[in-house]
Parts: sequence; C-alpha cells; structure tokens
Amino acid sequence: MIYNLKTLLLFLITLSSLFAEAKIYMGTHYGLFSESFNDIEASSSESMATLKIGYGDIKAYAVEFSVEYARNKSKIFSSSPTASSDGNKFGFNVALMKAFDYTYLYPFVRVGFGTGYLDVERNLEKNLTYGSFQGSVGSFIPLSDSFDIEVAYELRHTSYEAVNYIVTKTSYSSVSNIGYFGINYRF
Amino acid sequence: MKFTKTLTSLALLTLLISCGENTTTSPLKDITAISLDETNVSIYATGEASLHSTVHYDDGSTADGSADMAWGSDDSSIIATRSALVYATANGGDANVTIDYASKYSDSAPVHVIKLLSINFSDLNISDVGNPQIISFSGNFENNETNVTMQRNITWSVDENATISEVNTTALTLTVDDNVTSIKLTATLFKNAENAQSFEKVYN
Repeated sequence: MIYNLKTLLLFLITLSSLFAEAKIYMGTHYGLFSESFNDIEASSSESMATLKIGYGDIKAYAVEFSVEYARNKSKIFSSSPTASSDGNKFGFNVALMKAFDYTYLYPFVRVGFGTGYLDVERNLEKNLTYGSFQGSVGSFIPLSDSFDIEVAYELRHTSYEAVNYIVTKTSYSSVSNIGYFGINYRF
Repeated sequence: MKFTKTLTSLALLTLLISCGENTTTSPLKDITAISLDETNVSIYATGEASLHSTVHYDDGSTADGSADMAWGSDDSSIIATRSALVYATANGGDANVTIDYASKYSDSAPVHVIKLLSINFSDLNISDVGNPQIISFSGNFENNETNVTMQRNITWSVDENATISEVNTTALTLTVDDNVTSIKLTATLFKNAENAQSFEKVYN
C-alpha cells in the first residue's frame, strides 16, 4: 500500500514538473531551405514561412502543429513550357520537442512529420502531394515572459506522390536543409 | 558568449542554405500523346485482332501502353474490345476502335469487319454409327479469302441424330447416334446477338 502511494506520488510529481510551466503558444518562422533530390539531378532553394501553435514548456516538452508555405522558384516537376517554375507549396506538420534549461538559452531537439502538396503543371497532374519526416535542433532565446526568439536547423526527408507516365508511376524523394528564425508568443 | 556563438552558427548555416541552386529545366519527361499503332484494321467476322498503343513523351522516347489504355468501340453493334483485343459483334460492317487515358488523351482507328459468306464442310459418313468422325470446316469471306480458320463467334449444334463431342477452330468431332437418313449440322454466328446468322449443312 505504501509502495503504491509512493509510486503514485512520484508519478504526480513527475507529471506536474512536466506540465508545470506548460502554456499554449503561437509563433511564426521565416526560413530558407535547400532541397536536393535523391533520384534525379535537381535542387530547389527558396524561402519559406511557417505559422504554428503549440502547447508545452519552453524549458521542457511541447507539441506543435504548424502550417507552412513556400513558393518554389525551381522547375523540377512541371513540364509546361509556359510554367517558369513549380508552384505553391503548402504543408501541415506535427512535431514533438524536448527543450533544455540553460538559463539564458533553451536549446531543443524536435522530431515530426508532415504532409502537403506542391502545385505543378504537368499534363496529368496539377499538384503532387507529399509526406515528410523532420528532425531539428535549435534554441529558444527568451526575450520576456511572453516573447521568445527561435532559431533552428532542420533536416527533412520528403517523399512526393508518384508521377504518372501511364506505363509506369515513379516516386521521387528529397532531402532538405532548412534554417529558420522566428518569434513565439506564450499565453 | 554562448548566445553570440549560437547566433553566429545559425547565421552561417542559413547563409549556406541560401546559397543552394534552383533547377530551371525539369529533368522529368512528360506525356505528349498516345497513339494506336494500327491505322487501318480488318478483322474477320469469326476472328479477332490484338492491337497496340504507344505513349509518346516530350523527350522523344516512347513506350508500349497497350495494357494501360481504356479500349472501346464507337459502335458496339459492329465491334467490341476486351483490353487490346478487338473482335466482331456483327457479320460485316465498319466502326472505330478507340483508346483513351484519363479522358485526357485519345486516339482511334477504323476497323472493317470482313463478312462471312459461307462455310466449307468436309464429308461425313452417316452410316458409320457410333464412331467419332472429324469434320473439317473453314470460312469463305467477302474478301474472297477461303479456308480461313474461325477463332470465335461461332456456335455449333447438331440435330438429335448425332452428338458433337469436340470443337476447335478448324474441325469438330461428331458421332452419328443411330441409323438415320440425314443429319443437320448448324453453325450459328453471333448466337446471342440480334444479328445472329445460321449456316447449315445437311448430310444425307
């Protein structure tokens, strides 16, 4: 009985320490990505913007949901002669993160996955959906109780929907290096 | 100090990432057209033909797309398709065979069905009761071709005086059942169609 109570107490303490400082927060990022394809000689680099909402502790754990947008300047999938580049790229991501308390900095690691679509101009496709896995390292830099700056590097693997050649369907994948900075507001 | 180091590292990283290149010409080919390889097709009313289609790409390459197309006919009372196989549904006539992919690409070709005029039968000894006898047959068609094998659309029947035991494209095996004075052998073209047509042979 005493053992059970101790276990329960320990569990509650752990839980309370995890969520003691948990808050809902919102943030926005601006970043640059460099994407290289695995199966074809193609690359893409451009800026991207992200809007996110999260719940967690700046010094511990958090879960984040984000939407992102990029306007590709590269022409990798589009075949139309009138298209100068592939089009808009929209994505939705979910990520879990663990931050560490270094007093003035809160470094973090984050892993997540996402999905989205890229507008293309091909004869049989108007857009290609994709799925991605992401891992990132970075740091929160607190400015006040409510505001903090976020800077990070992210490595992302993206698998695109198969391109239809009628006789075959071929999938392409890429690896992206992403660097971004942003600002978060914690309620 | 830590703060400065972190910011410097991330600024350098961002600079490196921003130096990436953009591909300006797509390395991927795209489809420009599909086509039927056969431009003018003739099939016997009792025959069939395997057709082929080709996918054309903007890099000049091609691929066999026969298995990937939706095959059809613009007049199913004349011809019909099963995948890339086209066969007649009437004894004579003209129609178009069509291919389509995703309602985006299509092509067609005219098909003429060569009419079956008559059937040649080999002899039968009706006094040879109880022994299987092989009757050879072939078609005479409107293009003046004779001895044409008949692959499909023909159904064979015989009156109550004999039994058919085996049929192939050039012959059937028939057994005379009893002492009879005549046997009527019937070949029905398009048995289940509105335009069914019978060809009869009476053995005395």
